[in-house]
Amino acid sequence: MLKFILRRVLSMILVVLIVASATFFMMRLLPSGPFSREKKLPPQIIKNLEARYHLDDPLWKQYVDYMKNLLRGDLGPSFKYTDRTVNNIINDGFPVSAALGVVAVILAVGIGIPLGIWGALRQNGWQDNLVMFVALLGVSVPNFIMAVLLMFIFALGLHLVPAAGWGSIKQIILPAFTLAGYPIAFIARLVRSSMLEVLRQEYITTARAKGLSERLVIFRHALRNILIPVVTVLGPLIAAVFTGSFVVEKIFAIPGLGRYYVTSINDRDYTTILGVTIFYSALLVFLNFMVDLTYAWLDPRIRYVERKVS
Amino acid sequence: MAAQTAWQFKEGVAPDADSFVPAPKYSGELQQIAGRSTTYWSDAIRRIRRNKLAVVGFWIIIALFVVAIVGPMVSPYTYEDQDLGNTFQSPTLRHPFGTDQLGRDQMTRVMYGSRISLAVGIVCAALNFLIGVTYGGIAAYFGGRVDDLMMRIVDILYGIPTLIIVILLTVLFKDKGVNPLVNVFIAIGLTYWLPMARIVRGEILSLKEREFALAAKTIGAPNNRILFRHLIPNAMGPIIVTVTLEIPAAIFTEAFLSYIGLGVSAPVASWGVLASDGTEAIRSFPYLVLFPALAISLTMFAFNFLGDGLRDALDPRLRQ
Amino acid sequence: MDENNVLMRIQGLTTNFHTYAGVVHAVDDMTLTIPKNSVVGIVGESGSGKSVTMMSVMRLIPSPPGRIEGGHVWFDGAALGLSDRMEKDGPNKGMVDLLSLPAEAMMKVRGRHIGMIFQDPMVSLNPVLTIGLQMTESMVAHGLATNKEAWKRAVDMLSLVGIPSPEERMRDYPHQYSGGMRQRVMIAMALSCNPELVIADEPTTSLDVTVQAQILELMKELKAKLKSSIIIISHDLSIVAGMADKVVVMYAGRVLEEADVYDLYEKPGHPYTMGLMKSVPRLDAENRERLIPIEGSPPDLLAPPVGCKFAPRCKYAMNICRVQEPPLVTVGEGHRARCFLHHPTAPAVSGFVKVE
Repeated sequence: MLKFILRRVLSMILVVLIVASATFFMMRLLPSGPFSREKKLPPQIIKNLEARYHLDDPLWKQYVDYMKNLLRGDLGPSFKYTDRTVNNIINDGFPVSAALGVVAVILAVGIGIPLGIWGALRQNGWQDNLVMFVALLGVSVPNFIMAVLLMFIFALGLHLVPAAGWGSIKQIILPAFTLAGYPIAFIARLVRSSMLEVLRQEYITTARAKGLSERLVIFRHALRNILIPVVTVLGPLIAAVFTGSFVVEKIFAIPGLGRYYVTSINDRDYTTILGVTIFYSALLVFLNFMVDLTYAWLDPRIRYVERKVS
Repeated sequence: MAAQTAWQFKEGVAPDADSFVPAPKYSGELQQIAGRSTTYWSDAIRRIRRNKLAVVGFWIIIALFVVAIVGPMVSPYTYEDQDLGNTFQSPTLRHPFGTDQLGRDQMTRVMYGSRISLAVGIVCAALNFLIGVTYGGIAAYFGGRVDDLMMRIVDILYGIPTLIIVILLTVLFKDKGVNPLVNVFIAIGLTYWLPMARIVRGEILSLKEREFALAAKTIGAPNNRILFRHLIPNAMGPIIVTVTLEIPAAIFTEAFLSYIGLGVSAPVASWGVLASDGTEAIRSFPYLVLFPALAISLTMFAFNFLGDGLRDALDPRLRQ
Repeated sequence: MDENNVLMRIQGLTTNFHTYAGVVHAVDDMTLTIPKNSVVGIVGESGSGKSVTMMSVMRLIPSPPGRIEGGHVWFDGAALGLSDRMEKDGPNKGMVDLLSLPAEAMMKVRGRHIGMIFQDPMVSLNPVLTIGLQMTESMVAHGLATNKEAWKRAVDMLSLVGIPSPEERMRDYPHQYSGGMRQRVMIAMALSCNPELVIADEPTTSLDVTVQAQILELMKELKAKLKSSIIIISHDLSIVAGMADKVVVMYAGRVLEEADVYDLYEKPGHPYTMGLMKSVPRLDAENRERLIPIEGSPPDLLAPPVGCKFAPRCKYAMNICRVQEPPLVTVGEGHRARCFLHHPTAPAVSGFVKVE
């Protein structure tokens, strides 16, 4: 077990370093400097700015400096907002995005799993067909369309919730459901097919042959086995929630990290782009690791590979 | 002991002298297999035709192709014709999808956008197919350390959020002046091949050990022949499903990129751009976002329905 | 047959599967009596209906395609504790028809009065739950013990079936055990509630040969110790012969022959039984004797042949056999067979003992 953790931690660090380096060089490859996009500045000022940001150092030195700072957790200053550092921006934006993301994931799991189970138990009945059809729509509608649609119906049309902004509970509803839309649908479909697969297994027949109630059979015997494939997709789903936040925050005017990221891309604020990319990667890698640990906890076959009795 | 028999005979069956004479042998009855025999493919086609959603999806895609090719040709407008006297028109007979802030006919723009989306879908899926199948095929075929190494690389790449890479690549190439559309092709084509590689590798690993591959090897077929002529064709089922499902993913990604401002630039309009522009005006002119949104959604539904249907039809375990 | 000695009587059981391709007649009008304290072996090829019969008894047939179309499964009412559902008189006096029980009641019968051992212990145990939990849950669910008591009893049962260090093994997971150990656990699980009837469906088929022998030995030991009846199902006549008091031969969903095990071997009453015996290698055979398989394969249950189901493969088939299915007739004490060769007018066949 310990070996496993160790290997994963090393792999995680490796991934983050690769992403950091790759992104760093990509940014440096861009022809235009960050300052040439706006009004033309006199060359002397450009020189000063470059010196200030160390852009006149040789490339390898810039890289090493950046990496050193990175290891200390310092992501450097923002190019665009001269009085803020990237760390600042992340500190401001991340808690908002995290709150939204957590709510979305809870919705996804809390709605998706029961929906999938319900559909599977009524296989081929109208409930099943309905759930599956809606779920298929859910994975097909892009999140920004979903956002616009939900906003149109529930905010502008029915006036049930505010259309945008951040701060009150009501304002979380629409963006959270939008973000959760794809994951709910995906999980529902996965749980349904997983449930059908599990219910076909011999050990379920054994459980029934022992006279256990259907309730016990489903919740004690089937459930953990169903959750295993769900946990394996949790990683990519979380990534989808991250990237979904880019558009959702833009549409609903939420001051989260996603929105800052998109803005920084459009503004070509390189250090911010670099810093936030690394942050996202590190976060995702870490969350994937947590997901893998959960998977090992759920499935004892992974946990106890070493010992064998005979 | 007397036999306690109840020798009852059916109606109309009276045992006669002939009854207990040994019967002539059956011929050929011994090893009959009931049921029509079908090949894998005809069985799959039969099953997918029964899947109404998949069939609907298929026809929608056909319709989409027709509209994409023919639509802009027959329309009286082009995607950039401006008519400043007629801006922000609601849908009418002349402009079934309305006009935008520059008086451009939305219907033509949406039809034109379908060309872009389909192009993106097909080119990217093709690129992913080529890269993924080759990579996965090689890894699986050679196995051992080669496989380990190649899959280790894939695992590491998997840890990187693909959309972020796509975004970064797009920014990179855009600023280098690459045509935005080609940009999208490259960015998506270079990053979305990972699932395909994994699936192909999995399939080929299991096919490798089956008899027909070993047979080909024993008659001395060279490696690449075995790989391309024997193994990959047999893995076609999951490959087709994956390709079909990669198309909507590519279309979505392009729309997404356009939505955050990284797609094709004005006046060329992809659906993502149209939707993005339309969102600005959603409170006053909802039709501007409605039609592109419908177009994207419908296309993605169609491919997903079809992909789902294909997956069910081609999965041998579900054979009835 | 002594009425008080009957534990279970299957009567006229018919189970069909309604599939896309048609209706599969898996079990057709099957009748079988299981005495108390005895071992009954059911032998047959794949598709003969032996497993489906038992699953029908347990009412575990998956219900969209499968359906029990008719028949009764009479079980000793006193043992079940369901005196209000017992038949008041008639040939099945004192018995309860399991097929007529509401689902809740049947659930209470499973595991508690009828224990089942399945074929492949690798997939029959839940991989994510501990052995301990899987052992104790039926005792607890049937209200026979508290968690602590059940745990203790489970440990005892594990050592009864020959598992070393049972206390530690309770916390293990199925994948940590070998195949033979897992099957022992399945046996222990089936016995944990002290059921009156234990059904073992191909208990050794998935195991290595040496382990097979061990498990069979174990079952013979348990047979001596327990007061339950055992039904042992197998495609292998020799396994059944080693344990059973009575043997039933099934084919294409019907009983072809039913006899005391010695009678079956000495006086087989059906060509199929004779064929089965000739196709199995024997230790005492001459080295050069060939194994004689039965030609052909079992009939398609979607469209079974008219007349005797075995006729297409039978060396001695007569004209009447193609036209009508022979009834099950008594050919000796406790010995019944379904074959027209027993008809007085039928010709004599070597090796075949006709009814006297």
